[in-house]
Amino acid sequence: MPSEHGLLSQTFRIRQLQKLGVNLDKWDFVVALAGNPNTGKSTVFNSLTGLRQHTGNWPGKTVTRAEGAFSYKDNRYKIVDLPGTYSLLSTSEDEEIARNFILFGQPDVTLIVADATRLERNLNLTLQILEITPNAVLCLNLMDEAKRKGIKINEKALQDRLGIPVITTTARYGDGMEALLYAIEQVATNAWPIQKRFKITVPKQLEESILALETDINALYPDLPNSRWIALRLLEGDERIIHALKNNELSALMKSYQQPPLDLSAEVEVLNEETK
Amino acid sequence: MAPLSNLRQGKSSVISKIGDDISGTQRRRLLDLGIYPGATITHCFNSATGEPKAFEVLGSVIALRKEQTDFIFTLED
Ligand SMILES: Nc1nc2c(ncn2[C@@H]2O[C@H](COP(=O)(O)OP(=O)(O)OP(=O)(O)O)[C@@H](O)[C@H]2O)c(=O)[nH]1
Ligand SMILES: [Mg+2]
Repeated sequence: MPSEHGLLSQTFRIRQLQKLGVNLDKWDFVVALAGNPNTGKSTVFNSLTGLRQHTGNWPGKTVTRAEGAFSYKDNRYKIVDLPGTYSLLSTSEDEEIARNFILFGQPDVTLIVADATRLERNLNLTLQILEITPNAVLCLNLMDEAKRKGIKINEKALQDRLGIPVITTTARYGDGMEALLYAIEQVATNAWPIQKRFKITVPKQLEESILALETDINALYPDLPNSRWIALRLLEGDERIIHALKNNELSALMKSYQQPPLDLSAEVEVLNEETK
Repeated sequence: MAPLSNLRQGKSSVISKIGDDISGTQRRRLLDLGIYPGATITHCFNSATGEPKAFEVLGSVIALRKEQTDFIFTLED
């Protein structure tokens, strides 16, 4: 359905969606918002929570993580807005906040918000995320812009290749949000069939080295998720990961994500009429 | 092929190669930002001192230093 201009995302309603603002007392699933800078992550966050995270048309607006909540059908979700990032590998300081949460925050669903008009670079990050988790949804946002530019995207083909739900949206006008919620639910509740998990195959020798390192990492830090990813970084000689692992910073980081949620009520404005 | 450092302000070209002089995480970073063969790059403006220079690629403006632009090559236009 085409949206009317001026109809902001905050005002749309979806059956069975309750925007819960910062009511984070309990939740069934955690959703992390990942994506390149300026793709509409905070806009999606605001649509689903009724909160007003800072949005605007330049990159780098979100500089720290913000948490909000919504319920859809029978489940409650905590959703975490993150700074934009181009990469999980070559990160700047801002980007590290996003990377660390994606890797060590153990979200049930990683919702990748991509700019449909700049798919090449957005898919680079998507593949890096799929290397660490198959529990992801790809949201192709800014579809209004893509249409205006005459860009056609075969989302079905993308979905088949990536093995995750691919949903087209225009978050600014609330278009596609219901399909997006449905996809999030499917992945969160394990209802999404993972037939063809996306996998990057590496040469046999490298695979053996990865496995050996992974075993060691798991023995030393049994709770740490994504030991394969860490093994790969160690093999690359990534100084920051070597340092963080040596000083047990990664485990500390992970535990910090399991702390009681941050109280953001002073920083964000709840749209009360939306959270009825 | 011409080095990106030769691209005049306001002009665009297509990246053809990232030289071997840029390696490791530096090379990775450029690729992650969208600087890869086939991508269109525009020289937007220079900083007050002339270096670094600002380039636009896939809608993002990024600053590149001469040590980098000398080893990123574009198709001549
Ligand atoms: N045309 C159009 N604009 C959109 C859409 N979704 C978001 N925007 C706009 O895009 C800009 C960026 O949106 P944000 O939600 O701030 O993006 P972000 O990904 O959180 O950005 P960072 O936090 O800086 O990484 C804002 O001006 C939004 O209003 C969309 O579907 N179509
Ligand atoms: Mg944001």
